[in-house]
Amino acid sequence: MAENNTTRRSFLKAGLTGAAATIATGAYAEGDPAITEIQPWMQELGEGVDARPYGTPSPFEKHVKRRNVEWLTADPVSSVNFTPLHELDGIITPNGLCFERHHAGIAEVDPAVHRLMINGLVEKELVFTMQDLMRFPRENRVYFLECAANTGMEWRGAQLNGCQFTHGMIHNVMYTGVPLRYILEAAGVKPNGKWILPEGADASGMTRSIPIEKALDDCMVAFKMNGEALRPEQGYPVRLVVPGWEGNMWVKWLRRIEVGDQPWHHREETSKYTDLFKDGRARRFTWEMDAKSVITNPSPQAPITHGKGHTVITGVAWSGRGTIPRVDVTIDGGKNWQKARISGPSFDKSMHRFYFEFDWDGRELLLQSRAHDSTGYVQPTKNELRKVRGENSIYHNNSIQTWYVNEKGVAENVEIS
Amino acid sequence: MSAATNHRLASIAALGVSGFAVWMMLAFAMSNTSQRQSQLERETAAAERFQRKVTAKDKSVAFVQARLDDVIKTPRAPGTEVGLPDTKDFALGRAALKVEVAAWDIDVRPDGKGLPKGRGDVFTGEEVFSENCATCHGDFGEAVDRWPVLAGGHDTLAEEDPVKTIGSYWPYLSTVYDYVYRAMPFGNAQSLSHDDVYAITAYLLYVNDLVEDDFELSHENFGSISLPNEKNFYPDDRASTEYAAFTGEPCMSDCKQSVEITARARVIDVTPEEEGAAKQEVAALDTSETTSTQGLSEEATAPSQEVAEEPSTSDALDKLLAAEGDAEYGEYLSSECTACHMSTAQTSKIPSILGWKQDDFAIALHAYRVGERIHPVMQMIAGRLGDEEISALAAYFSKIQK
Ligand code: HEC
Ligand code: HEC
Repeated sequence: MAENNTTRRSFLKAGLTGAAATIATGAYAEGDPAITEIQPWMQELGEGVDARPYGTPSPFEKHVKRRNVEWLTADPVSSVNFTPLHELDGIITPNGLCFERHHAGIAEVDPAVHRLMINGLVEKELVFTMQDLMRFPRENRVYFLECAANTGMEWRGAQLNGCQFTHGMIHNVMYTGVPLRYILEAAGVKPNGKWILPEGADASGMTRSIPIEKALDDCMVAFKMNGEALRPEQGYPVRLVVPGWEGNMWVKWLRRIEVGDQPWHHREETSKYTDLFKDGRARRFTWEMDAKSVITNPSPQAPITHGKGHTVITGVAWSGRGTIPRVDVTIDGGKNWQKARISGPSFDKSMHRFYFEFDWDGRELLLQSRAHDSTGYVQPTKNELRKVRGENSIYHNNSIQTWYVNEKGVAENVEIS
Repeated sequence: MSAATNHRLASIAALGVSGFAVWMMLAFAMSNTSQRQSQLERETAAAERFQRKVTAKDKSVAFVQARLDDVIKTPRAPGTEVGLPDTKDFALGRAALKVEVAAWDIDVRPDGKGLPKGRGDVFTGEEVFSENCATCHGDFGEAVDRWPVLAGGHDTLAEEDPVKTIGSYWPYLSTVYDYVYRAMPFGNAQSLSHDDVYAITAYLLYVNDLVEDDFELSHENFGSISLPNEKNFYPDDRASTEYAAFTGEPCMSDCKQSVEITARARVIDVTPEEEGAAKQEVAALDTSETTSTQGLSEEATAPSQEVAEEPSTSDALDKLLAAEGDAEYGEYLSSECTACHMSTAQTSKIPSILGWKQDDFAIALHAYRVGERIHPVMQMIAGRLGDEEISALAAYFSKIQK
């Protein structure tokens, strides 16, 4: 068990504000032992340079990890886990914490025998090795990837206590890869080539239909994430990047792209990833991810532990249709709103980090954030969205999230009028 | 120093090094062509020409600055004015062979493109399905535990708890064929023959009340079958139905009189525990109204409450090993296993289970059953087997040699 966890737990037992207050009022007449006593690391030598040839986080950060919700799926091989958003800052998600969703487990693909095939309505059907792919001109782009089912458990009411579980099916990564356009141009798309079907090499043989306009616009065939090779669980050695569109389309372990004149209507675009409305009809091809935001701190897994006084609220916002020029924050359940401060680079279809600082008087809070994207779209409330869509659409819940924070700083997932 | 020289120096100072270089070039050209002019005349002429040049240059600097501002607005790093090359063909990759395309191109479309030749009837389908699929999806597609439901759910789509199945929800039969051939059985994908997939697809139509039990499906009649829910799908219309309503300056102050909490997660309480961490923290909050649970997918409803009490591992194992196995019962049960553990050869990832010593076999299954050996599918399968079944299977498989 990480020491941090133990500390957090005893803090919770002792009463949050109480523990913080003891330190502040100077119960340590002799001085703070963290200062007056010699700590082991001040005296002893640490491990040498090669002790950790691939570095890992401090043992004090052991609790920072992806976690799943076991009851969601029948089997961890076709399941999902969640990014610990409440433990992160800035805009980049570290590779080891990017949420996972696979349909047949993690394929451990040997890059030496991995191939990418282009077939169908093209002048020449082609096969590329990994080495071939890396000889194309490549680009670096930061994009968020959000599962269309992110926040899908919250349609009927507040369900899960923690932004990791309510919003953690998202990550934001810098990809290095080849514009898909180059690869399609090498094969020569025929005039009636209107759709592509990317396919994965794993045992689910994942496929999705994507219109050719998107394929030629900003899609990438990526082999690096945040500077290093893709992680196996993110599609090593190569995955498709479909900026701003739902994560299921970003086919991992990409082995084939077929060009066709019609969509294929495969399982992941009929049985799944279609949005069932209250009248029993269903929307399909809902690819774009609408603007969304969430406060990551405080949140149920990250209570306020310092008592009243200067308090930092932070969170993330993103849109599949552009950048996020503005985020509003309310601390009184939407009676009054204020503009938050956005810090860090503002890239198209990438996560944005916002902060809102205020002097907490120790009273109950109802926290919400509201994203505006560069098209002028404003993140709707849960009720507004339910009015249009009903409660059974599972996917594309981009509504405003509410956290209730009590006088002790403990946060809970709630809905408000 | 002359006025012209002063002017020249001032210009140099204003322009810095690059301006100086321009001036030097000009001055050099002048000195070649104007031998007859006096030093002063030459310098004056040079300075005048230079002045014209500078004005032009100022304009272009302003232009570049404006371009740069544009570039900065759409966040781009310096250096990106060198764009990606336009070249359409880098002469990379090689031609795909027909056999290679055929090996990978297995996709099937609603218009029948990609559908291979073959046929299979409901009766054969029932057999193949019960051997390969029923472990998870149930004998009639009704599903075991939380594995996906494949049949039923008619007329439930507009209800509170819709059941989405092939019969109630899927728009196209081609999707069934494509998916089953590509991805099922789970853990042994692409192991079925095309005739088997035709037969299974026929059976799935049958359990969804869409065909009679004497039905045979083939590449010839495939196109004549349509699924009942096809007409109820429509393309994304958010741009016309939602975007206008969700655009515009929202209220920023005094937006509502009062705020009530109408639902809270704690009431449902399905959040995974943080390794035994205090949940009591939230229990201190009071109750309000109850809401119903909803899973990520239809399969999921609520967390299973009871976890079976296992007797201590070694006692349980001793008991298991002491049990006498009935090989005939084992044979009866074995079809559930041979779906993946092919009765003959060993496939790439699935080990052979033929001709094992009975005890070793029982120990291996027990290890999955108690989670000492980790493999999700085998753990799930072994978890449902009692001692009697395990010893029966051990007895049966031990007799069969590779
Ligand atoms: C070991 C358990 C298991 C076995 C055996 C199995 N399946 Fe599945 N099946 C699954 C899982 C798990 C999924 C969902 C996979 C995912 O999430 O991508 C699934 C999905 C499906 C679906 C899509 C369901 C939907 O609503 O989208 C169909 C159809 C299907 N299976 C048919 C079959 C057939 C036919 C067989 C036998 C040839 C079979 N399955 C054998 C576990 C199994
Ligand atoms: C859905 C496919 C599937 C089904 C059905 C299945 N197995 Fe397995 N089985 C596997 C896989 C995959 C492994 C390898 C797991 C591992 O690596 O631990 C395995 C491993 C085993 C092993 C251990 C083999 C070894 O080499 O250590 C035994 C014994 C076994 N299975 C018995 C059974 C029995 C008995 C049944 C029927 C009750 C069964 N299996 C049904 C897929 C399956």
